[in-house]
Amino acid sequence: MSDNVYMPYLMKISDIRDETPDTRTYRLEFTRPEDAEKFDFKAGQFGLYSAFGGGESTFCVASPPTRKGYIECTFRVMGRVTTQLRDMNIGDIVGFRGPYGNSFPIEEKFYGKNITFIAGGIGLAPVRCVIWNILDLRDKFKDVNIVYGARTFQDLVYKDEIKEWEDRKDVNLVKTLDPGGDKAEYGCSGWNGKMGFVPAVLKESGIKGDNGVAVVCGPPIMIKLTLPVLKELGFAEENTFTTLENKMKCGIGKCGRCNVGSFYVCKHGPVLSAAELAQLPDEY
Amino acid sequence: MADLFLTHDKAKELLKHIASQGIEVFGPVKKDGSHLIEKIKDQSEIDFSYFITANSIKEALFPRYEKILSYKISQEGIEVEDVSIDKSVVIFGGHPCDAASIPLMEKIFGWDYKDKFFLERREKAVILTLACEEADKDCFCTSLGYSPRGEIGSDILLERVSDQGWKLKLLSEKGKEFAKKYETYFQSTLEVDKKYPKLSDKDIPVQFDAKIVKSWIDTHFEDPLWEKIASNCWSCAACTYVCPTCHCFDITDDATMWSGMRTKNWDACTLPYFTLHASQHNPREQHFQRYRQRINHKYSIYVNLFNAISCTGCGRCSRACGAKVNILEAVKMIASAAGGK
Repeated sequence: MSDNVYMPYLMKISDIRDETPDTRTYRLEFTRPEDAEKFDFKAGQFGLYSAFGGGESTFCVASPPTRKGYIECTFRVMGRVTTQLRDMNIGDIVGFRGPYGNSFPIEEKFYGKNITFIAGGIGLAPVRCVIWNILDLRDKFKDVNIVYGARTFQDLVYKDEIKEWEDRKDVNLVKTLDPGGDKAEYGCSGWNGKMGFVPAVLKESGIKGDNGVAVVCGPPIMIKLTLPVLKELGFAEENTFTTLENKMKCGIGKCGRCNVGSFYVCKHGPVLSAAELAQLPDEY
Repeated sequence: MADLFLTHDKAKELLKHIASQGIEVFGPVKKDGSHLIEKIKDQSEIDFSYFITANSIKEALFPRYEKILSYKISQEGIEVEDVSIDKSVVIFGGHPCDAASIPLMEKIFGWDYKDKFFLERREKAVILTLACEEADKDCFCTSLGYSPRGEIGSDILLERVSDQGWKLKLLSEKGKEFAKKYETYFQSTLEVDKKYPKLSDKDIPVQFDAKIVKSWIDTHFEDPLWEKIASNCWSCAACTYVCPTCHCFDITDDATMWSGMRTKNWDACTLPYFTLHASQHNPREQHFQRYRQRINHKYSIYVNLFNAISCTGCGRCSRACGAKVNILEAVKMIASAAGGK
C-alpha cells in the first residue's frame, strides 16, 4: 500500500439496490485480493467513497463486519458526487478510503444486554450495520428491539430486510410512518405498522431500558427528541449511543471542518454516548 | 566556525542560483506595492526592503492547490497513480513568527495519519529566517511566548548587522550543510552598523495571558461577546489565507472525461460553505460562529489536542482584514472579559 493517506482502494460494484427513488445501496468488492484479505473494520466506522472525476463523499459502512469480502454503502442523491455515483452500473469502479473513526463498543458494552435500535429515514444505514452484527452473533445478546420510522412509505430503506426482521421470532420490530406517510401516492397499499413520530412511538412501545443498550440514528431533530424518551424509559446515558454526522473532506483529522469543539467527528467519533454528546457545545 | 555574513546582493544571486538548480526557492518578491513570499524564478524581482510580507511562508510547504493523486479512465478500468515529493525547497525571508508555525503545522499533519505532502516537504526544506528589526501595532508574538529574534523552526537565522546584510546563526544540521554547500556566497566579515539590532522582546510588550484566554473560551461557548468580536466579519477568509498556521483544506477532483487528478486545496473555516451539509443544514451558519471557530481552534482546541496554541502572533490576519477585524483586539477583549489583563 502506498504511503499516501489519500490513496483510495479501488472497488467494483457487485450489486445495486434502489431503496427509494433517490436512495441507493451498492455492494462493493475489492479489485485486488490482497486488499480484501487485509481489510477489516468495526461497526460504526465510515469511509470516503469516490466517483473518479466527481470527488469524494462520506458515508458509513452499512454492512456488518461479520460479513467478509465486501462492504455496502447506502446514499441519497444530494450533490455532485452522489449524482455521479448514482449513475454507475454493476462492474464500475468506486474509490474507497477507510475505515475511519471509532466504533460501537459491542464487546465491551453490548454483550449480555437487551439491545434497542431506533432509526429514522436513511439513518437506518449505520444502524443496519450494527443490527446485522448483533443478529449474526445473536446468542450473545438478550432481547433485540428495532424501532424504525420514515417520513413516508416511500422513504423506508431496506424494505426487504425490515420484513425479514419482522418475521424473526428473536426480534421485536416496531415500524412507523409520520402522519400522512401512508398515502397511496407514496406507493403504500395497506400499512400494517404504526402512524406517528419515532419518539412518540418509542414511548408507547413498551420497551424498557433495564439492562439495556440503545443505538439511535436519524435526523438531528429525531435524535434530540428521542434522547429524553430513552432516559424516561430507563436507558442510562452511558448506554445510549448515536453517531454524529458532519461535513468531512479528509476523514483523518486534518481538513478542519467536522469538529464540534475539540471533538473531531472523524477521529474521536463518529460514535458517542448520550453522556458524551451532552458535554459537546451545541454546534452540530 | 568563523562568523558568516550575507549581503543583499549575494543573497539575490544565491537564491537565483539555487532556483536554477531545480530546487524550489521561495523568497520575498515585490509585487504591486506589497511584498510576498513567492516561488523565485530566474527573472524574479527579489526585494528585501520590507517589514513583513503580506503572506506567510506556509505556501512553500502547503501549496494552495496541489495534486495528491492522478487517474486514467479507459474501457479496461481505472488506473490510479500516486504523487511523489521529489523537489527540495529553500525558504528565505520569513520572520520568526513564520518559522515557528512550521512545528505547529507538523502536529496536525502528523496526527495519527501522516500527510506525506506536508511532512516530506518539511523534511527536505531548509528554512532561512530574518530576525525582525521592526514591529507594528498588530505584532504580538511575545504574548504567545515567541520572540522577534526567535529560533524555533528555522535552520538559519539571519540577524541584520547593517543596511547591506546579515550575520548568520546556524541552528540545525541542515543549516550547517547549507552554509557549507553555498560557502562562496558568504563572507567572513561585514562592517557592522551600531544601530542594529533595532528590536528586542521588550519592544513588543506582552498584552494578554493565553491561559486565561483559553479558560474563558472553554467556559463561554455561548456568549454575546463572540457576536461583538465578529460583527464586522465579511467571511472573506483573507485572514486564513495569510495565516501561517491555518491549515484547513478541501479535496476535489479536477478531471476531463478520461483522466483527472484529485487535489488538496486551501479552504477556510470562515467561509459559509465550509461546514454546509448536503442536506443544507449548516452547524456554523452565522459569521460569529465561524469566527468563534477560528479563535477557538487556535487558542483552545489545538491546545487540547497538541498542547500548543496555533497562533504565532504575526498579526497578518489583522493587517489583511478589509473589515478591520483584529485578532489581537479580539483576544484582548476575551482576556479582559475573563478578568485578566
